[in-house]
Amino acid sequence: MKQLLLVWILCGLFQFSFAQQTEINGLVKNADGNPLVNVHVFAKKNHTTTNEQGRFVLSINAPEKGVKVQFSHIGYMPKDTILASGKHQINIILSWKTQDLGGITIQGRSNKKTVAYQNTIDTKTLENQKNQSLGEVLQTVPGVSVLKTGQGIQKPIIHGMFGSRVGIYVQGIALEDQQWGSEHSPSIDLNNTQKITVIKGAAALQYGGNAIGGMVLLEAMHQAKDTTFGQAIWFAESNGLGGGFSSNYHCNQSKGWSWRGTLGFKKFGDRSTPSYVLSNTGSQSGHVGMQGSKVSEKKSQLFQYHYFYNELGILRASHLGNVTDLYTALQSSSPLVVEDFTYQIQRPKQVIHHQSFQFQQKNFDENQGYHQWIASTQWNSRNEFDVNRNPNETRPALNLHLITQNLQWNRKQSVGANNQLLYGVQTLFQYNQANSPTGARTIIPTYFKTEVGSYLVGTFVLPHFWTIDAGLRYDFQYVQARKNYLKSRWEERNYNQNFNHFIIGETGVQWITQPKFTYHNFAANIGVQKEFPHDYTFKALVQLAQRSPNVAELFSDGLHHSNAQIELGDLNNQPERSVKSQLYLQKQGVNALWEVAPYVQSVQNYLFLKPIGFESTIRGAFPVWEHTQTHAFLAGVDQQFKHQFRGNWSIHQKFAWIYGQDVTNYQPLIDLPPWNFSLQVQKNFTLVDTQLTYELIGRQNRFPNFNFVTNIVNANNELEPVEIDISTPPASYGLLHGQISKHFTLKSGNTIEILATVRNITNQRYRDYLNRQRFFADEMGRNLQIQIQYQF
Amino acid sequence: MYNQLKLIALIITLTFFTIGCDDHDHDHEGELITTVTLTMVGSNNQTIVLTSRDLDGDGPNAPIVTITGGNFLNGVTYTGNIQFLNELEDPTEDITPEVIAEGTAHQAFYQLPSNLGAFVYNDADSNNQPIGITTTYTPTNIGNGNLRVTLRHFPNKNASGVLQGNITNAGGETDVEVNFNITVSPNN
Repeated sequence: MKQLLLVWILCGLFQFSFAQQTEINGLVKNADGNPLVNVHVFAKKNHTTTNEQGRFVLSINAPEKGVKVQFSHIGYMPKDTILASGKHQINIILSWKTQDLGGITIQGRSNKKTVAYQNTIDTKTLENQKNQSLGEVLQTVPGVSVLKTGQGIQKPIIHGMFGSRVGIYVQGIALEDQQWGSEHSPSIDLNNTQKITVIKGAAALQYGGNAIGGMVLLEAMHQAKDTTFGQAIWFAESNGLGGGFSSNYHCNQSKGWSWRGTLGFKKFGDRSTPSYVLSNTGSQSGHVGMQGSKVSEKKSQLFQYHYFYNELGILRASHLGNVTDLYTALQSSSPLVVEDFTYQIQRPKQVIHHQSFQFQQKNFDENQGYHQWIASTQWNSRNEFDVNRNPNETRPALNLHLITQNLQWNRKQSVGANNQLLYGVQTLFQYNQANSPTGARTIIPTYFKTEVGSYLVGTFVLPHFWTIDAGLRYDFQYVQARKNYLKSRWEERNYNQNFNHFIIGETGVQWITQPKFTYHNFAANIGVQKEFPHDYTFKALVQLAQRSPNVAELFSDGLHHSNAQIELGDLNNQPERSVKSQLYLQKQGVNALWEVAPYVQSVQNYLFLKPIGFESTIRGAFPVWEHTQTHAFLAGVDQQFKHQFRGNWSIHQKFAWIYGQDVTNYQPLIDLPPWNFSLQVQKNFTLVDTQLTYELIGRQNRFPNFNFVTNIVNANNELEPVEIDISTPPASYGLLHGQISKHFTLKSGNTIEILATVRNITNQRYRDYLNRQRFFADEMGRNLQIQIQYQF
Repeated sequence: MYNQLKLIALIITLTFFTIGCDDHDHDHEGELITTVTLTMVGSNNQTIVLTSRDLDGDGPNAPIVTITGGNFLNGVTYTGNIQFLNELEDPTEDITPEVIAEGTAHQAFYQLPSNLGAFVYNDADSNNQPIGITTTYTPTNIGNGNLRVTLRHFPNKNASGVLQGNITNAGGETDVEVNFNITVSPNN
């Protein structure tokens, strides 16, 4: 991946100047002095490989001011050098790469390696946002939005899709943390992440086949310096009067061993809007990680362990008893519970522990290929604390233990000079144990799931700058749950027609059931890429993918206090089948980049929550939302433009728009991001670097009308029907953010960077359509953030 | 290779050790109230029992509402006593004592069209503020209307009107919300 980045930079250096013939003769050895075979030597658009003696000859038309020649070999650090035009005789020594371990990489040898439509968030951007959530950082990519439940819970939306449709992969392994619910945020701390890649669509089948929305790949720190180094970050924020600290320490030892430790902690009190405190929105989280790896010429090994802890207050005013409470909350322009600022986190809240352990080994072969084995275990514990009738209650209302075991074998193989194949077998075992210590009905049941997947992905580099990427994947999935259904629910759902064989017993008013489902999912994709003169790249991709209904979509059965609604899964739900087509046009010049990427997607059996009626209970009335299926059609476009001007000015503009229609019911899809535009202007002065960003988010004018009518008691104490408006999106808004940073280099060579950021400078009051708490409260007001980063 | 296999075996073992925890079923729902019984005893010794019973909790079946003992009689003073039960427990769990014990965190409200008169609180929590378990009600007119009984937890009892039984500013969260269609007949 690092090579990819270098090549990317390299192609940006392609310049218009007089060219002259340059001939390079060379010899490439490793640090032990042995010649290296099959080293990839690359300069402009020419490339060759070293022979048995480690020698190569390369002739190129180099511009007068020189050409960058690059050397790369799997298992070694890439190296580059700039040569003036003329004849050269050079000797190159490549040192072993201390880490290149995570993930499953496939790289063609064209100068833009993968055909998938992807955006990368680089180290520099990440460095400045390490204290942010994954969702916030991903928003810097056009076409990515965030589904929020308040400030603390943020899930990425890629091209209008979220939850189980977006896979988050850490070092090649899917993050398993009950990702089905909208109020579950990914258990990730970015402190350990060096690079994030967003793939739009199910394009990288080596990771998984069911991410019909897209994929987020997180790669761990990757440093090749043969020294001990580290980083410490302190930060503080004015909104929520909080802050934290994170650090990582890296040490490389001889013989290819290296060690890495990370540690982080943050704490915030209640956040505030411009006009009131968002009571009970404090949070605290911590992270600790350890990683050890050993790299030699033949193989690499990696062990890592991470622990992530998060305790999160949920806006007090968003917890509701029934529809009357919802009506009262909607009638009020500010939250019904506003208290003084505090660091205390009370009910409702979530407490999450996530641990992961991973072992990987890669055995390299001569042809830049490898065998890779991965074993990983993730343990996720989630505790949700409701507001109870009993004020002395200390137990959670819901407690989920999710254990996931992954075993993988992946093989990368070179075929001919330019083509590569990647294939493998991946298994997953997952067990979820659902408990309710307070005895409430658990929405998600206890279940066991097994998956076995196999894939084949190939990249073929053809003449005339054509590249073809193609992949196939098959996944077998078996899920078995254990769940008690109210007999009345069983009948109301008509399960007695087809599913009575799942009943294994009864207890009072409930059936004890053991539903079992088996799914066979196929995915396939093909992408072609053509590079044109003047740095134009064109891509066209088609992706077919299937996604089985997740456990929430099958088994949900209970009351959601956050929305005062009953949510029902359906055992009849079938896998979603998606076809997505994307086009992509890019020009990457020396100082400018622009790209436009339109897409269309059709999803059969698209699963979404739809209101189907009302149920009266002794607690009052509740609207019932069902995980139901329809035929969805989506289309959209992502666009971005970057330009570097003279005098250290640069701009970065981006835009995204999406259209989504429920074709069966002739109505718009719910929860689609409105169009959004942003413009960032940067100016680097001698003393400081500055940056100003303006974001404009439109109003979502296409939304389904899911409003309903309920009876409330009016001022005369008489029943009166009222409409509850849960559909109308909030108005459009514009936000201004600014940043000033200053970089110091100390005598020791260590560096310090001080960063001051103001988010929402104008203290704009607004509500976000994609925030589940928009019914109850405004978004956060102005926030001054100070960050000090020390690199040693 | 052998070492790796050992490691993998270890991970799997650990996993299944953790899985092997207890897996008990939940036959009861904590905090569930299935039944609300409002017993109104008149000064004329008439006893009216208003019951709302929902044995499937959050399930699809609507509560069954019954009123026994005849209509309210205009001008008669009734002493009300409300009871919250979980009839799915065996024996039936009476939740009322718990509500009274946590009286400062609870309040019941009785909403009735104003021409039919109003419920007056007849009890107090440790702060000397009403809970609403016992009440008195004297019909002031003949007619027909909806009586809504609401139990809230964590109400703001000090908000305007709440101590007098006005739910408008009470806040908090609803535990119970039931409706009874009542009739006040002339007292002959």
